[in-house]
Amino acid sequence: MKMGVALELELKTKRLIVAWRGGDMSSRDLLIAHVMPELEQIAAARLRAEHSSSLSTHDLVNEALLKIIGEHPEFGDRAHLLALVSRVMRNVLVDQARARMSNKRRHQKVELRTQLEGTIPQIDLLSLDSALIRLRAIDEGYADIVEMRYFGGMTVADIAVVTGWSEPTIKRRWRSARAWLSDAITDPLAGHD
Amino acid sequence: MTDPSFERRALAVFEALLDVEEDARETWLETKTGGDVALKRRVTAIWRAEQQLNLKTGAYLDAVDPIAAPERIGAYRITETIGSGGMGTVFAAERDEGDFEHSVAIKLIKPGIFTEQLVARFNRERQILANLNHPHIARLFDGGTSELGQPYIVMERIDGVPLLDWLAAQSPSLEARLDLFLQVCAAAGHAHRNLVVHRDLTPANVLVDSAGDAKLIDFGIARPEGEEYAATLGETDASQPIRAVTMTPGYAAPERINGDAATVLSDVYSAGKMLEAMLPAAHSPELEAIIAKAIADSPDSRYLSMDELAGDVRAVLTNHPVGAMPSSKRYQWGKWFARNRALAGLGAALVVALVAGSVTTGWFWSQAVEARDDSNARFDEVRGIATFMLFDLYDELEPISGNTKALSQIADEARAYLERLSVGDDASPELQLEIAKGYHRLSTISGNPEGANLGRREDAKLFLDRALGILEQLHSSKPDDADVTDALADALYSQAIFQFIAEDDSEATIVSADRSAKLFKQLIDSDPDNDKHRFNWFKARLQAAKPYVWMDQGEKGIERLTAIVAEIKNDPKTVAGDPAARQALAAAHTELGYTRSWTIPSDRPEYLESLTDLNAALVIYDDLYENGPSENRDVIRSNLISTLFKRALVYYDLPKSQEALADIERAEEYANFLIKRDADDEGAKERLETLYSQKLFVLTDLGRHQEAVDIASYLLSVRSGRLAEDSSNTGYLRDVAGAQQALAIALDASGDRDAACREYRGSRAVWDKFVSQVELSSIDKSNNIEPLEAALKNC
Repeated sequence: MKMGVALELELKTKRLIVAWRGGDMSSRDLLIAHVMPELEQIAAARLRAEHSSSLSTHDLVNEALLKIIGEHPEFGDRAHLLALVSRVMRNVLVDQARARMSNKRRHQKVELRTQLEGTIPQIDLLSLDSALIRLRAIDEGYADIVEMRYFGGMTVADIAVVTGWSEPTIKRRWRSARAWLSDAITDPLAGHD
Repeated sequence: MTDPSFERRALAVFEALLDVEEDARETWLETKTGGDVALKRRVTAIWRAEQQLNLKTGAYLDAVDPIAAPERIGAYRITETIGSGGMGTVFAAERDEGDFEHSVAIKLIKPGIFTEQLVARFNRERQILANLNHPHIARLFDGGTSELGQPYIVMERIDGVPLLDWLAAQSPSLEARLDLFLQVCAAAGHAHRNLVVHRDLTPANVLVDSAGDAKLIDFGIARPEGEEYAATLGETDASQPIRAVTMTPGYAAPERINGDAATVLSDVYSAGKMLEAMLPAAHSPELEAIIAKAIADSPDSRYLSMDELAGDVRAVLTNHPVGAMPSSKRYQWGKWFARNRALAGLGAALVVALVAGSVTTGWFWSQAVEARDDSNARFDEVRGIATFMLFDLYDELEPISGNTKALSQIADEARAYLERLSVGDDASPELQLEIAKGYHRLSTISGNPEGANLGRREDAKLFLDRALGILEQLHSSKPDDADVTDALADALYSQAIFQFIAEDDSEATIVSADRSAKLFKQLIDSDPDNDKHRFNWFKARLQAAKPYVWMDQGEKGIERLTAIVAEIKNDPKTVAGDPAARQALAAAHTELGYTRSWTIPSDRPEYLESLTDLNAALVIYDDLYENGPSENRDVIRSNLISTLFKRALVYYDLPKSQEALADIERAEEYANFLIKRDADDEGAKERLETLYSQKLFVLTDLGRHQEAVDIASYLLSVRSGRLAEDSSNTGYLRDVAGAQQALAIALDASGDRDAACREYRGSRAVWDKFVSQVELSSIDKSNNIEPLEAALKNC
C-alpha cells in the first residue's frame, strides 16, 4: 500500500521532470510542490540551528542536493535539481529573514555569503527579494539566473544546461541582472520617473 | 510603477553594452539610444550601479575578468591563476632558483584580511605545519610577505577537485566515500598528534587528486574562500575575533559559535558534519550513530579523537561493531555472527569470540585483584570516598545477585567523585595517577568485556580513554616512574581487551598489547624478581598473539603462542605448581589450540595438534576446578565452558561428532549451573545459546534430527522474544533471521521438506525486513542470503 503511493509519486515526479525539461515552467512549480516540502523543513531546521545569521548558501545547497539525490534518484541530472534547490533556498532564506524581522522590533539584516567570486555583496535579503520580484515581472530569464547563481551557487555551465542559453549569454545576463538589482536596491524607485 | 517593457529595453541595451570595448561604450550608448534620453539615463544608472558594486566589492573578482597575477612572489615565478576568493587569490607557481624545480600553489592573502592575531598565530605554527608530513595533508613549504606587504603561503600544489564536487561528479560507492573520509581522519589525526588543530575542516578544504586520494589543505590557516563577508567590506573589523574568519557555519562546532577556541573536539565535530555531507541520504543506522556522536552538541559526548571516529567508520566498512551504536549486546552479537560466518560456515562457532574473551580471565583475574589492592591502599587513604565506592563497596556487593541496579548507581556516583577530583589542571602528578587508576577501574566495572561488568561499553570506553590520556601524559614526562609505567601498561592491556572484544579491531589490539608488553618488560628489567610484572608480561603478549587468527595470519599467531607456552611452562612458578601460573599456562594452551584449529585445514594431520593443546588446557582446568583455590572456581568454570566449546568445534571438524557432543553437554552443565545460581546472568545465558547454536549442527551430523529441530526451535523462540521486546533493534532482527534459517536447515536435514521450506520462506521474509532497514553486508550475502536462495529453489 505504502509502496504503491511512493511509486506513484516517483512516476509523477518523473513526468514533471520531463515536462519541465521540455520547457513547461508550470511543471517546475509543481515539482517544487512535490519534492520540496521536506527539503524546506531540512533547510529551515538547519537555519534555525545556526546561531549566527550569516550563512553559507553553498553548504546549505550541497546538503540539500545530497539529500534529494538520495531520496529521489529519479532526478538524473544535477543541474536541473540544483535549479530547484536554488528556488527553495530563496524561499527558505526569505521566509527566515521575514520571520526574524517580525520577531524582532529592530530590523536585523540577514547576510548571505556565497562562495562565488563576484557575487553581489551582502545585501538586505528582503530588499533583494522584492527587487527580484520586480525583475521577474520584467524578464523571468534574468530572475532565474539570479536565483540559480546567487541562491543556488550554480556554475555558469550548470545554468546553461537548465536554460539552454550559451555560457557567454548567461555571463552577460548575470552581470546585467546584478547591476539592475544593485541599482534597484540602492534606489528602490528606479525606473519610476 | 516600474514599466516592464521600458526596463526590459534598458536591460537589453545594457547587456549589449557589455560586449562593447570599454573606451567606446559612451559613444556606443549615445548612438544606440538615439534620442531616447530616458532610456539612456536608465541604462547609465544601471551601468553606474555596476561600477558602484565594484567599488563596494573592493576587488571585483569575476570569472570574466580575474585579478591580474603578479609575475613573481618571493622566489617563485607565477605561472597561472588557480582561483580566487574572498581571502585572496591562489596562484600556480614554480621555483626555478637553484638546482631544482618544483610546482607549488601560492595563496596570496589580501591586505587587511589577516588580522595581526592571525598572522602571529600563523607564524607560530608555521614550523609545525611545515613539519606535518602526511600523505593526505598538502605540505606547507614556505610563507612570507610580498613586496606589497601581502602575506602569502606556499603550499604543495594539488591537482584536485573539492571533495563534494568530486563526489557529485564521480558518484563513488559508499565504501569509496568512507575510504576518502578515513583519509581525512588520518590526516587530521596526524595533525592533532602534532598539536595542530585544523580549525576549518570542511569539504571545501579537502581536495581529491587525480589518483582519487584526499588531500587536506589549509591547516590552521584562515579560511581561504567563502569569506566574502570580511572581504566585501573591504576592511577587517579589528574587533572581529579570529574565529569568525576561521569557521564555516554549518561545519563549525556549536561551542565555537559561542566563542570558544578551536580544539580537537571541534575538529571532530566538523569531521562529523563532513561525513554527513559526503554520504548519500540513505545510509545505515551505524553511520547515523557515528555522525550523531561526532556532532554531539556537548564536546564531552563526541569522539575523543579522530582515530576513535575513524575506528568506528572502519568498523562499518568491515562489518564490525560500532562503538557509537547504543550499547546493546545483541547488536554486538549480530556483528559477531556476521563475521564468524565467514570463517565457520553457516552456524558453526557463531559467537566464539564472545566466549573466547573470558578465557584468559582466570589466572590473570587474581593478578589483577592483587595489583588493584596494592594501589588501593594509597588511593584509599587520600581520596577515600571515590575509592571506597569504586573498589571496595563495589567488590563487596558484586557477588550478590540482584545487585546490578545498586552497582550501576555506585559506578555513577564514583564517576561523579572522580570528575570532581579531576577538575583543575593543577593536580599533582600523584593525584593524577590516582585519578587515572580510578578511571581505569571505573572503565573495567562499567563494561570492559574481560570479567564481570555492567555492560556499559560506551562508558567503559570513555573512562578508559580518560585514564589513558592522563597516563600517557604522565609517562611522557616521567618515563622512569615505575608506578606510572605499571598503570599505563595495565590500562593499555585493558584497551587491547576492549579493542579485541568490543571493537573487534585486531590490528589495534596488537598495537596496544605489544606496547603493554613492552612496558611490562621494562618493569621486569628493573625489578627481575617481581612475579606480578612477569605474568602481566605474559598476559599482554598472549593478548597480542590472539588477533592473528582473525587477520588470516594464523601462522604468526601460532609462532608467538608456541613461544609463550614454552616460556610459561618453564617458569619456576609453574614448575613449582603455583595455581596462578598453571592457570596462565592453560590459558596459553587454549589460545594456541584454538589458533591452530582455525589456521590448519582439518584434513591435515597437524590439525590434531590443536587437540593436544586444548587437552593440555583442560587437564589443568579440571585439576584446578577440583583442587584449586575455591575463590577461583567461578573463573575456572567460565574457562572450562569456553575451552570445551572450542574443543567441540575441533571434534566436529574431524569429524568426531560424538566427542563434540560430549564436550558441549559438559559445558552446558556448567552454564546451567551459573544460570540457576543467578537468573539475571546474561553472560551465562549467551554462552548457553552459543553452545546450542553449535549443538544443533552436531546433532544433525549424528542423525539426531528431532533434537536438532527442537534446539533450533528453542533458539528461534528465545531470539524472537528478545526482538519482541525491542522491535527496533536490527541486531535482534538479524538474529531471528539467522535462527529461522538454522531451523530450516535442521528441518531440511531431517527430511521434512515442507516444514523446511516454510521456515526458509519465513527466514527470507525476516531477511527482507532486515535489508529494508540496514545495508546488507557482503558476508551476510554470501553466507546467508545465497545459500537461502539456493535452498528456496528446491522448495
